Amino acid sequence: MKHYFKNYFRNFDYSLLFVYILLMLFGLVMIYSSSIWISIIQYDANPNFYYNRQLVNIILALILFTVAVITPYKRLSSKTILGVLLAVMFILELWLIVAGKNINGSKSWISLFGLMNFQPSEFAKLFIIVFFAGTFYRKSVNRGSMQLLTFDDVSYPLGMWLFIVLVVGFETDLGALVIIVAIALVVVITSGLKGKTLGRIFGLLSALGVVGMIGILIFKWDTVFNASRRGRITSFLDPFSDPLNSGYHVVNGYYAIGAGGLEGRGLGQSIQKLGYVPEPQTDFIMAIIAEELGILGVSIVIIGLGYIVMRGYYIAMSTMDPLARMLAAGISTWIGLQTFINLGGLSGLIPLTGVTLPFISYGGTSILLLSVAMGILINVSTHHKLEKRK
Amino acid sequence: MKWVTTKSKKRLTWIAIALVVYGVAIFVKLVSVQVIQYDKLSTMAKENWDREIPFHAERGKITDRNEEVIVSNELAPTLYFMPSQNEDKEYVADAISKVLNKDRAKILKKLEQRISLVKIAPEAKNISYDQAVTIQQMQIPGLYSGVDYVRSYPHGNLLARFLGFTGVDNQGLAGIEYEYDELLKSSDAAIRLFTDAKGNTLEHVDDEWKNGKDGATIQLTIDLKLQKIVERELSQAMVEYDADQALAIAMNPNSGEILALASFPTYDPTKFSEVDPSIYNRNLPVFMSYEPGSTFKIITLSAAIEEDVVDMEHDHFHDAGYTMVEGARLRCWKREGHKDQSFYEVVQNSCNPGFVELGQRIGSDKLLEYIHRFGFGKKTGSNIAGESSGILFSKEAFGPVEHATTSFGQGVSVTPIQQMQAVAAAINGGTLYKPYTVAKILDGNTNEVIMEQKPEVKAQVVSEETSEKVRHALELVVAKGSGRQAFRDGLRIAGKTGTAQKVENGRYKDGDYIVSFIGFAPANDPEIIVYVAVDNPKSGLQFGSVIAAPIVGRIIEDAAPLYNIEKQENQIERNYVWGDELTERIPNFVGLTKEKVIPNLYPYRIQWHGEGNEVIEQVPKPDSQILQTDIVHLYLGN
Repeated sequence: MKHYFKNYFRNFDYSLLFVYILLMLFGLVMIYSSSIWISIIQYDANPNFYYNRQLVNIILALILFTVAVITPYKRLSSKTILGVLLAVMFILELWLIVAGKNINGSKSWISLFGLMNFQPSEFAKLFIIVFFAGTFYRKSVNRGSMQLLTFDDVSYPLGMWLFIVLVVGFETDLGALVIIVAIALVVVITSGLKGKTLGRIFGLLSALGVVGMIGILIFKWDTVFNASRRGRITSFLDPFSDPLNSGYHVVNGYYAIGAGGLEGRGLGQSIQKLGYVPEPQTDFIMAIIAEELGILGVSIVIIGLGYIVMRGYYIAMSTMDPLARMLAAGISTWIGLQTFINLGGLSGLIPLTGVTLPFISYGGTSILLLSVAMGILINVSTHHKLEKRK
Repeated sequence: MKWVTTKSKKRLTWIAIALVVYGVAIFVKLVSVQVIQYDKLSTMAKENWDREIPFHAERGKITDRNEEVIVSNELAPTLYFMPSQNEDKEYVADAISKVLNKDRAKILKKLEQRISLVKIAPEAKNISYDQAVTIQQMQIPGLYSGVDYVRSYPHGNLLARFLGFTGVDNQGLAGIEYEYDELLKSSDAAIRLFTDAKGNTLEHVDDEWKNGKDGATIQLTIDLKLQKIVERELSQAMVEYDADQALAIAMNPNSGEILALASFPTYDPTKFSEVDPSIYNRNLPVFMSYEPGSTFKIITLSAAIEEDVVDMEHDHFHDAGYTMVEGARLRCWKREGHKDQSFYEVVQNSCNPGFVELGQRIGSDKLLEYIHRFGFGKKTGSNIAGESSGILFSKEAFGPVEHATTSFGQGVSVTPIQQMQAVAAAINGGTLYKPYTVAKILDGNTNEVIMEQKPEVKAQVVSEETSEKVRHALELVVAKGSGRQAFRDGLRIAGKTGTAQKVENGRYKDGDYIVSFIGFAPANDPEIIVYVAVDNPKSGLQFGSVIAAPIVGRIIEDAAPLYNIEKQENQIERNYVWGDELTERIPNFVGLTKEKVIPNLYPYRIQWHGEGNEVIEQVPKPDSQILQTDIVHLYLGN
């Protein structure tokens, strides 16, 4: 064991660790900067209200990260861990259905014994990656190769996945839904299943998708395409057509980015955070970063997150271990996609959906689960290095 | 196993490429927002943050030729309110309504609007300075008073129909205010308070002062002193003759500068809404177009002399009281006719058949040509709002009868300003100047001259010799003829009367005349030319000679010191006509002894002052013309 750790830390992927810690601390500073006004004026709280809470989140996250980073990733395919995760997922979803809390138009929160508001959909993202990768891997070990997996072998995790998709869909948390669908597909694609099986899976999913869409159109039209969502589409096409209502978020994000210019107004000097940009410490934190730090802030975030994502893909492409490949690809896709949905919405490339900016935005659930994912990724990376040395 | 990896690798590569492309796209988009849209967005963002309290700059002033202010501005603040800075709207409404004595409910409704900045108008627009101070002293959070102005008129109604007025937002609506609105308009300054979304001012961002600019000052050619004299005379005439309207123009004949311009009845520009629009929309000297009557004869006269078809002194004309033109009998105003007269006398007597003769000698084409050359039939270009162009006969319609009547000023329709322009040319040596009223336009802040109008020569219409003869003829009119009531001793006033029946529906209106007089002085070198017309005076004798001539006489008499018009000795002496006051020219008594004076029987009384053997001082001065009822004071000394 001692030898393992010695060897492990000798080959540890410090670059990922460095970037991960850097982004979190940078995020912490920016959360403090952007939330002071909100804390004092809006919530009548003390100016470091959000800062303190995020600090606690980060400490908790680091503990979880440590656990994840020292747990050999192969364990994730063990029946026990998969079973526990599955059970937790089930409980969370049921909890959500029974006692979900409605915050900002989405019923996607549950209160964990009053300690924190927890988003099961965040957990679902990590769960899908681990559960798919682990299950596929176990089956392939039984069969002897990924190639030999049949459609029946994958139908059970797919079923579980469909269940989650439906629940999240009914929560009407569009951003999370997109990510959950996308990472599942990426894990399936990168698993190494043979083309025929893949084809069947996609055929079935497409059919289900079409049926689902028709169902939504018929029964849930009003909920899914509610006024605020339709507004988001029109404000995406022309945010300045209605700058005070539907275009408000986008326009004020633009003002922040535009007003900052290349150099930025300086740390702490944002004006848009003073009640103009809604929730400047969460989804719109990038706008405040751009306003205060200009191109420098934008570069730190994009290069940092880009490095994590590209490093993940590099590992996935170069490893010979299918489990490692699936985990690395899934986690990278998750972080990458979430970054791009957040920044794409902010910069007007895609319609706005409420997802956080990984590692930077304020939010307990997000930082905790992303830290676990980072732990797994670094673990995979380190093992990959170890393997190469052999 | 190997190819599985390869395949997965290939699939992954595509996903990675897609993500990289998307990542680059986002980066580019963000930076482009920061760079390309920076100017636009940062301006918009600032507008989003600021709450502008307007500081209205001053509208341009209007001054007379000597820079005396005719129209300026008075401070009249307007109240603004930021609803987010004060929750107690009831209290604010109470305070405002109490101080201003305005409807509380209406104000409260305004204050409760969910907007960033409320302009409390009209309730608290243009309040008095004292009211604003009272409200400021109450120190109500969120309530601001912005600087605002209203027009002020130190001379009241003076020049009102020419100046026009401004509306509630200080925009020019009539007259000069309308015509020169673009120049007079100010661009407003403002304090930009940067605030957070709740309207709290930002400590770390400095308030910005947005610079405004006062409107340009317009310096008119008008002379306020003369304008006051003219308006005094006109308003008196309005009362005395119970006239419908009256108008006057005074001009410098050697440049076209309008020195005074008056229309009656007038109005109060601060209460324009209470008067009929025809009052403030019609600037009579340029708007009215009517048959000029005898004043137009000056044109016929000038043309005849210039064309050398008459010897004014030696040619004679017999007036039988009428003349026949193509079977039409054209009457002279004097029924029995003026009998035999020289052409100077024709002018003195304003004899219509005599002018028909002159017109015929000139020829119809030539006469029409002169009328056009003198600027009739089209606008003068004076740039005064609401100018008309008058009506002339077309060449085709200009038959012998029309030709004949036009010769003495009937059948054509002209504006007073056209007559001024033409007559000024006839008497100033023949130069037709464009009349104008705006001398200079000055920058409102720096007083730099932006534009300066110089006299503008349109044409040389007659020669100096002709002009001299015309002046002489017109001096005779005042000294000996129909303009005698304009005579002022030594000032050498010359001029011509006019009496025209008004036309309504193509027929002359009985007993409704416009009487006019156009006069200038001194006759040898004119410094000022004045035209007065009174519309429908209700007195026994509706003649220009009786009503308009004395007004012009008084105006020129009072204006003489302003334009350095000295009394001259070599004037044409006035003829005595029965009914005139008897006048006498007094000799120089200074140096004479009492004994030498007494034996001479002077027709006036002499009052002695002091002791001594010699006269050392006399009042009035030697050579003055006095009435026989006046007293001459002689002071004795050694």
